[in-house]
Amino acid sequence: MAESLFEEFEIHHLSDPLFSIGGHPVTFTNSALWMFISIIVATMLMVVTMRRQAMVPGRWQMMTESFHNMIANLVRDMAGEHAKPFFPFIFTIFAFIFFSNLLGLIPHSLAVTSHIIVNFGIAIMLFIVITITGFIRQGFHFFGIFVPPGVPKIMLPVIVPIEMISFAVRPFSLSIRLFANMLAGHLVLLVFAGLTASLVAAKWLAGLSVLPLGMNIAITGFEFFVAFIQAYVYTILSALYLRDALEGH
Amino acid sequence: MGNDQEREGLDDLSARIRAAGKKPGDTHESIEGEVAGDTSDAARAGRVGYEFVGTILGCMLIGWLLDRWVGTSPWGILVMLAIGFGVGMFNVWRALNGYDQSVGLHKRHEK
Repeated sequence: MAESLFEEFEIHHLSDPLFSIGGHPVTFTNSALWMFISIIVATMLMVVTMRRQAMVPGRWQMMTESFHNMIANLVRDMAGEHAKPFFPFIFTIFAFIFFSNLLGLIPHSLAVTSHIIVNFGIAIMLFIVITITGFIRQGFHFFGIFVPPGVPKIMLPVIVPIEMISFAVRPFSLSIRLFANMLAGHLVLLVFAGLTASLVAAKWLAGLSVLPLGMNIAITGFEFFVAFIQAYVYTILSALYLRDALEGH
Repeated sequence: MGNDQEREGLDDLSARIRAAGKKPGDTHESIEGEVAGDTSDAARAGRVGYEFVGTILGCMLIGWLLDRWVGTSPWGILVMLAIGFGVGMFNVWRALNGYDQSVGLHKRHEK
């Protein structure tokens, strides 16, 4: 039982090595498959629901429009007015994470966001975009974000390295948050499912198995909420970090 | 000299105008407070926790990579662990005192 707990998160090769990078063979894995599926589902949902742009939106169009408005408001509020060109980028991050989280709840699927490297990949991409944008927009004034206003000069040798390190470790805390939430949620589901199975197997206690089963149903509902909230939090923090690059001080 | 003083006076005035324009309960402000996920104490506590752990793990990873490249094992990871602990603490302090998550000592909503 114990070894099968992490079976859900295992990565399998679905193809022969396609090509190799630095001696490491690259294969098409189930992780890649589910990433593709979430991209396709997200794209299809956006395209199909907005195909007929009715003046009075139907149910599906309404859903897509409210997603769009939510992220547009978020980008404007958190990253400032200048962040409009970055809206597609931020929205893509949101859609990818949200649909990965949701599709991960399908039995026998893989929640790609429960692998930290996926989240870290997105975070490091964001980090590179933010740094490059900062230098393009502000030149060397971008370093000014490491010098908080109103700090006494004598404190600067302490504060500046601290700021630099907190800037550098942002991708980590961003990806750990999403990873930990997804992994923990799935593990809790697995533990309660295992408990249900064990109770059913123990004959005279089989009646008790409704308790963990009910718990599992409730947690599944909660996981839908977590899937949305974590995608949303990731997006908020991305937009917030983007503001540094756009506005500085 | 007089010019400088005048300039200072103008800066002060524009700061005051900005402050007056930003009423508490301004829609912008309330939206920001909501989406920042700090509406409940639990959300704030969760944020602080991930910030702390993320900083320490991130610093450890940087130290480990440094060790591998420069060959200073185990000093890189130890020093970076200590630094990460300090920075993590600083970030926790910053979060608890209502500074926002952008770099620097900005009070939330001040920008």
